[in-house]
Amino acid sequence: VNEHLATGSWPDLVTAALVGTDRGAGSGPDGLLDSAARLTVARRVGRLPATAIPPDPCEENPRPVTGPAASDRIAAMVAGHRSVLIAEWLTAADARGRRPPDHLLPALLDLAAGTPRLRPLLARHPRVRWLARLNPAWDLPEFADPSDDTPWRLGTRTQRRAWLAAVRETDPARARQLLADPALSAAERAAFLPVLAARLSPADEEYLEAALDDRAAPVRAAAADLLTRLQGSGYQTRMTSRARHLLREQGGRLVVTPPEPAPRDAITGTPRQRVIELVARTPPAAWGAPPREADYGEWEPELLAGWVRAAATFGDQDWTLALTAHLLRARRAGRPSEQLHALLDAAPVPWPAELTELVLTDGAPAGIIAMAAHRGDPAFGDVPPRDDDPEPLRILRFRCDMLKELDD
Amino acid sequence: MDRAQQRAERVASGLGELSQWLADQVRGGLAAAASAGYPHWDAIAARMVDAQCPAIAERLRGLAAAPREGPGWEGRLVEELAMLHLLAAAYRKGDELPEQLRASVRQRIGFTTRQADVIAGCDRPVTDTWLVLGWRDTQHERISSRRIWLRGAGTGQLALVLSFAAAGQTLDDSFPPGDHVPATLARYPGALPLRAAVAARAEPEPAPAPQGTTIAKLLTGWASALAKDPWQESWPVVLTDVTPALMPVPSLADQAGDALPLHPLADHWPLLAASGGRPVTVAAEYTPRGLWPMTAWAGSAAPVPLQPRGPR
Repeated sequence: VNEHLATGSWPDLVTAALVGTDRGAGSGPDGLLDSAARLTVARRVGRLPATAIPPDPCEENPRPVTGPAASDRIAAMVAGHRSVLIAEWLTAADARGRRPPDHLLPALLDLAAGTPRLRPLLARHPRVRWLARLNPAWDLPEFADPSDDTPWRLGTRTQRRAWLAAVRETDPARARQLLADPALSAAERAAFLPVLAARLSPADEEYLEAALDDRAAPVRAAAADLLTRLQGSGYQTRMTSRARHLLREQGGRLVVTPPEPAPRDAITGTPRQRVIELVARTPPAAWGAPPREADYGEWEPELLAGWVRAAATFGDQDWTLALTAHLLRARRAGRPSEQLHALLDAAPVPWPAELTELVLTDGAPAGIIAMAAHRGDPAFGDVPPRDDDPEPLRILRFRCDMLKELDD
Repeated sequence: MDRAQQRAERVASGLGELSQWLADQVRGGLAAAASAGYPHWDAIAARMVDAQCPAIAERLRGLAAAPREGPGWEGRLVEELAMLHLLAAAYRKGDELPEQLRASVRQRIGFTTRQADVIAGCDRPVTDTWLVLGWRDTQHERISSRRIWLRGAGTGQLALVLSFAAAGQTLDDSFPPGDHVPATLARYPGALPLRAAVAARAEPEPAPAPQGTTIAKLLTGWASALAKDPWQESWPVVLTDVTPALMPVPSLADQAGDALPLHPLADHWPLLAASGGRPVTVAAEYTPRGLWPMTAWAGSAAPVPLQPRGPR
């Protein structure tokens, strides 16, 4: 009978092997290895079950999982294939009332840790918030639980803002009431007010009008930006009536009369700055149809700067299309294309067919073509594949197939 | 002297050297060996390649990294060396060992059998509809390998099909986890003859969630597998109604309250996410270091293949 088996102590045997049999009393190396082999098998055979404490289960998600083809595609995307389009997949699945396969959420959360724009798309799934509470690497402010106000009471400014955004999604009025807390500093009010951009409604108008008189300039500016976007607000009416006096056509040319300063409504600065602000904050429909080219006159830089901002703020498709056509022509005439980039960057995805066609066919630079491939109308990818298809067409086809699968 | 005899002699002398080397490690202390780094292990591994014991060489090369593989590495290193010591001793016994166990020993030393010979020489092939329990992929040097675990729907037999790929090649993905594949399998010889070659097969088809067992029964099955082949290190199982847990370590807990840890190198998050904290059916590979989950069935949903996450 071997002495190591007799004592039955695996830790002693491991220690003896680590320090070496030359230094210990007891059997020689072969005896020790014999005992270790027997004990190894005995320990494996005699393995006893342990105990473990599972976490509290996650609430059920009533949304069904996407179909097999769509699920396979998102699995390939999180594995690195065209992963830049994951945001569009998540948005499209959400619009169809579907959710991504649960087992892919850890990979999506890994991506979201480095890609903030994915977080709001994931935050609406209860299982994401449940996982975020179990893994510190995923415990991002966006996944906070709106029913637990700990981040609001004890968190950093970033955590408080993210929690307020979560509250705004579930209970818009409560978020507004929390903002009215007189204990908030001016810097906090300015940081938190833009949270109201989500689920903005006429119920917010009274509060925002009052914020136009706030002591702090950044709060006033944030309130003006929100009122600009609030459909049918008194602010929009004031802008539209100011706009009526801005432009006049005289002898085939546009004559511009800059508005008077109106600091409460964020119309400030030099006459040129006031023109930009007024145009940028007026719903484009107030001007009627987009003006034809060559009519812009000496105020063209200000009018264009304002219209580009307005087209983005109001998501106006007609104006985006007209301005894109104008800026593509201007670019061919040698002018820089920053405004074109800014305009298209703000256009909602997917772009309408006319805009996609214009950009794809009108000699746009490669960077803008790449934007059209990733954001344009995916129906342009609905053509039979060929070996020599250029990359933008392959991207459009990938998106076209991706969206079709989500409808299955 | 024919080739087989020549190899037998090389292996015998190589294993003699291995036994001596193992004894030297234990005599001088494994702490010294563990800190000696790769050249120390590569040298004996290269000797085993020369002695035509490639499977042993691969294990030895893997041991150089042992001290960096987390808590408890000392015990695992002792286990590894002790089981190699036992393997060398078993080979020396030669004809004293039962024929099937001798085949298992030869396989672990690195004697290979050609797949065609296995199929041609198999007198009792098994035809069944095989449930694909799942895959486990590993990477050694530049060779990827995939273990595809199967369970016969009619016979209940377990089988293992291996796929290998060099850099740039792809592994066999024609056995989708959770599917049924009608096939005829020919077993490789061995005391615990799990490994099989595919003699004939049909296309995969979707299958319902499988019947499984409990952790207590898994451990009984594992013990009887080890009784046949003490070197066995992976054992396939389907566990019914197990809940993933994180505390005290990532584990699976069954309805009886028994739990087993997951393998520390397995990614437990996809399984936890698929379960939502509720009981699921899990096909796993049981190993001495814990369960390696391969496939999960949650509710009535399709089987979930639990491949490593992130870019592949």
